[in-house]
Amino acid sequence: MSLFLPDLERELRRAIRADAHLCGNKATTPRRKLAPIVALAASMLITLLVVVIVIRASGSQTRQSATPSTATHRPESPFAALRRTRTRADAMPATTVRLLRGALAEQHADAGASRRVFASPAQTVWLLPASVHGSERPASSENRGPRLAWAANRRQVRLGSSC
Amino acid sequence: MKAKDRRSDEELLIAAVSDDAAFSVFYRRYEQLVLAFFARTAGRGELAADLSAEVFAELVVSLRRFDPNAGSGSGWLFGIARNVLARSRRRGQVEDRARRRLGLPPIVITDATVDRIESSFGAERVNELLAALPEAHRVAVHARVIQERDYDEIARELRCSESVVRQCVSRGLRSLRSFIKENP
Repeated sequence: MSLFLPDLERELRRAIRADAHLCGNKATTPRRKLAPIVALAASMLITLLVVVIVIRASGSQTRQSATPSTATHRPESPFAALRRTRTRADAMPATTVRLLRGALAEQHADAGASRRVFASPAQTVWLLPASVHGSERPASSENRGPRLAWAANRRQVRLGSSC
Repeated sequence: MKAKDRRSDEELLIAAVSDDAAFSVFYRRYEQLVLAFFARTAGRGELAADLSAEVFAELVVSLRRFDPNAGSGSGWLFGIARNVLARSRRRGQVEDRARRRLGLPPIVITDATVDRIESSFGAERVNELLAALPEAHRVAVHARVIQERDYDEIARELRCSESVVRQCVSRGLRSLRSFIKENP
């Protein structure tokens, strides 16, 4: 039996062919084939980035909570700073040398012995009795004063010895 | 003569996205039923032809949205037909949105075509075709296609499930198509 509207069928078939041709060309384009892969990779990268940011943020929060607040933190003792200082005299800061000078001067003031503390160009600390350093030599061993010992490394801090 | 295509309506609609021959098979199966539906509801041959053209154009535009899991191909087609009819009634003129979208040229409908439609699908002819159906199919097709009622409403009235009604409508339309082919 013949169709009632054959022109309609023909025109609709032509429209389908045109649409299929258009979509077929689009589908064969490499860019269109790659588009889903690129989108997937981008989404995975973004997810990874978010995870890293979250982990880092949570880690810094943990560290902050573990650190005591400044309000309850006791001020550090000057001796603690001294202990943390390296024992090599050539690496001693000027503050350390000053502290040593003061301590030695106090220790020997009562004995009447004059002591001088020098810092060599290489910052090696030389602690010498004034009698040894000066022109007059001590008459007795009492006048030379007690030999001092300081620090862990005696080779770098020489006490009471002549040049 | 070409061998009869054994594919189901759903298979044809899926293939028609990129295969105009598959669409042609579907069109030839349902052209007369759609014309009969509009001849019955609109009452005039030229109006039936105009509405049918818009229905098939809308079907082509929507081919990619067809989901065979959501219902039969014939049910989908007559759903489009009812929507086109309702919108045309609302606007007071036959809708041509889908045809404009596809860029279809105006379809020429001759007086001979109009006479042929009216003589083939007048009320008497439709009633004659419906009477040839089994009762369950006739009631379902009449309620769904001619009275344009919803599936759930028909299912409540017939005291059966909605899927049974869909099945009856689908099989009834298939039988009608066969009758028209055998008794032109």
